[in-house]
Amino acid sequence: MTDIDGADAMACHKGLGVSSMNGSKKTEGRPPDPQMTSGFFQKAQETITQKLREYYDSVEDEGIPDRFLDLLEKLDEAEKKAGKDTGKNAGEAGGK
Amino acid sequence: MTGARGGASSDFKRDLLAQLPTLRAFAVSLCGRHDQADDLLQNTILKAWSNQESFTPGTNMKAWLFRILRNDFYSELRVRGRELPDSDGHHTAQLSVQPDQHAALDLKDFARALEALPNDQREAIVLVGASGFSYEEAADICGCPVGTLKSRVNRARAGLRERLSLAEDDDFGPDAAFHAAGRPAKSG
Repeated sequence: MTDIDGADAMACHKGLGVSSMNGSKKTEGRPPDPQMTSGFFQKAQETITQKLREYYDSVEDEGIPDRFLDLLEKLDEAEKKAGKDTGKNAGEAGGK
Repeated sequence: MTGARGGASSDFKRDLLAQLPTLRAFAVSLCGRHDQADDLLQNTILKAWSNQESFTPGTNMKAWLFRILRNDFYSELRVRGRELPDSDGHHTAQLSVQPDQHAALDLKDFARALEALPNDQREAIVLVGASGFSYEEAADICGCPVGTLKSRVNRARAGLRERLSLAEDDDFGPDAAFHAAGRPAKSG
């Protein structure tokens, strides 16, 4: 009991109005603030969306390794040379 | 068909080329590893190329390519299982070379959380949240009903939220004051 009060006091002192996020046990008399909770949720959601894009973009921004550009060149050349038999030559060009 | 082959082929090549960056980002998101992702991408290119005839020009090539890639990913999984995580070739490891340390750290945390998701959930949230597909397109790519796809995305979001907010609490979140007051930490 004393410990929890102490923690609560410290949290208040530091201006951390966060009790509602950690459940209502230590808020004693104060109901959880639903706006805070949903705001927190909203923010978490936005962070996830943003981080996911950032992560994805970081890979996109690496550009395409040369091996893939070479592969496409070879496939294209093989196809032109072979005339119509695409599959077989494509396999050879790719199997380096 | 033979007469138009040259033109059609270079159109196909050009369109394929244009999709490679996003396709590769999808592959890395699925695998969590660059080396494995690049093998997957190579297979996808070869398959797409040799199946050009089965692609209908004017339809969504991006979705067509993504479907080839994810099907290949799952058949690989069935054959050899998912490889154990290690730091070599891991996307999380490569992220650490970014100049902005704080951003890199955040992104590493995120990448780890994403990797920890079940495959179907990770795939769903990436397709919709990053690759730019609608729920309907993503469901079509995954070969599942739209409702299933939506619920996978929701579970993925919940899973990420849980992992990321826990990580936040440990560092500087509201629990810090609690810990200082002698309350045992809930995780190590």
